[in-house]
Amino acid sequence: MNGMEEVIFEARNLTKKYRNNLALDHINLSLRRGEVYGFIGENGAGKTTAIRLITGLSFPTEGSMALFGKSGTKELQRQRARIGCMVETPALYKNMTAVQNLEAQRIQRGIPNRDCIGKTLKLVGLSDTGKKAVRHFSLGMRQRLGIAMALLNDPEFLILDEPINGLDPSGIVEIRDLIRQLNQERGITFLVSSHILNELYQTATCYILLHKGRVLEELTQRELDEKCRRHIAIKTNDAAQTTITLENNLLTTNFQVMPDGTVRLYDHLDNMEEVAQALSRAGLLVTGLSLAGDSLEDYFFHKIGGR
Amino acid sequence: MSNLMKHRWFELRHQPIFWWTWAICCVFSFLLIGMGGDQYMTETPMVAGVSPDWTGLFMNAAADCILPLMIVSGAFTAMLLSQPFSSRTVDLEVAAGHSRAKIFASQCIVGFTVINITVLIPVLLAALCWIGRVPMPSAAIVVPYLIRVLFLLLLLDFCAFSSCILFIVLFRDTAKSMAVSAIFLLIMFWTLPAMEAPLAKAPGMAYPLTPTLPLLLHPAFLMRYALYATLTPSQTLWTAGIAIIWTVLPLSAAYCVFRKCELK
Repeated sequence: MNGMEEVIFEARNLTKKYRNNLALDHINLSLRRGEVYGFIGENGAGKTTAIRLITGLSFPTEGSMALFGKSGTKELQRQRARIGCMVETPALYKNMTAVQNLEAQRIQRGIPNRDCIGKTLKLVGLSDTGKKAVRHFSLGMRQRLGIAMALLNDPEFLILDEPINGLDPSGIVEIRDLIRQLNQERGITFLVSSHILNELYQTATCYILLHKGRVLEELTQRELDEKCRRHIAIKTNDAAQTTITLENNLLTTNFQVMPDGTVRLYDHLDNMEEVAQALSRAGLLVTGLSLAGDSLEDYFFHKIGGR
Repeated sequence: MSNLMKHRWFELRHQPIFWWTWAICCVFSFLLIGMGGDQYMTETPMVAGVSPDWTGLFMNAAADCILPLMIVSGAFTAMLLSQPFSSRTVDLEVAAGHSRAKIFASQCIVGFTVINITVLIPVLLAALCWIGRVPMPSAAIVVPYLIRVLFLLLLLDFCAFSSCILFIVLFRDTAKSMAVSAIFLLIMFWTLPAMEAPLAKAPGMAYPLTPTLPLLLHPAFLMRYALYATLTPSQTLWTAGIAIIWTVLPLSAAYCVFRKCELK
């Protein structure tokens, strides 16, 4: 096994139950070093619960975890020194400045050199906050500082829960570039959860789709691209009749009716003319016929069975 | 653990609540003891063995001031220790790989330090202002007495506060922890006069002649009992022992809660 294939986090049958609510239902995960994992799921899917279990804020009801190949309470604790995290909103000392917040984190982590503070602040674009207390920071600045706190110990594995919450468009691009840069230059493995799937699509190299506490799918960017396959988007005056026509005349059931009435046909991609003729012969009024591909968002909703 | 302790010290230094609490307790002590301290020498003795000199002044002043100071300091220290839960900065420590046992121990050490710095030091400083202005007994009397009293009060202050640590880990919320701690300390100190009232007092004295067992188990009474000049070694051991038991019980319960609690 070479370095890039090393599994840095592994979960086996990881389960978390809160009274009658099964937040995580026997999930199995295997995160490889050097990847950027996009953690995708609706609210309540179990993303934050999983992150809280990894970071030790919560305890599993069942199952086991291993960090950097080590498992067991003591070993997990020890290995957590190698990770950085920002869970939900950043945990900050509001009466302190950005530098003091990082200094507190530096002392707590036992990092000997103070230089890391200035470097990290520069990296997240907060080097000019001076004596401004965190309580006066905007949401975006707090988010950046939260990321800086997570980055301070130069982690091997960085967990960011909704890192672009509250950021303006330029901030989103900066954080995206930062994640890419840290992944490529320092080889940091990321686990990033976000509701903004199109944003995640531009950052992640692998995806974990979570739904109702279960891992629906774990796939790489390439696999996703294959699965978000190209299709013919058909818009007619009668979606039901269109599907009957596709089944009877083009002998295919490889299509999907979208909520807006568009029919996505995954066959006959190189013969749109034949499709158009079949629809026309059936007396349908074709208002749109084009080649298109699924987005990550479409794919996710398709997997969980619609919006 | 040393990183955690350095971190706690850094947090404390940058925590305005700590400095405000200390300032309030100092002002309170100096107003009460510093300005009218000589009256404590002529007042009805609140503890046994009060002498008409600096030791007597200290005994009565401490007996009078410690309980209200404990309420103020206890409530603010509870606020101070519960803030890491509300601001979720305690999450950073857990996620950084510090064991919950070490995090809890470091919080207890801070609690012990803050409660004693904000209660004992202001009383002592205010009493020290009277040195040279009132008769001073010999060092052979004052020094052993002060060592014994400070040792017992260090234990007893933290013993009275240790239940607040249980509230802090139970609620993990600043407002609730502070309010419940203040109410708890108020009730604890209010029960003292109620328990003392039916007991016979020495003529011209404000303390019970023969304290009953419930009183001898009461941390608020023991805070005054510790100031008695007449305390025997076995009574000193008893006081220290009860203080330790009352400290260990709520702290053990608090640790059991914290060890397995879900952090926000």
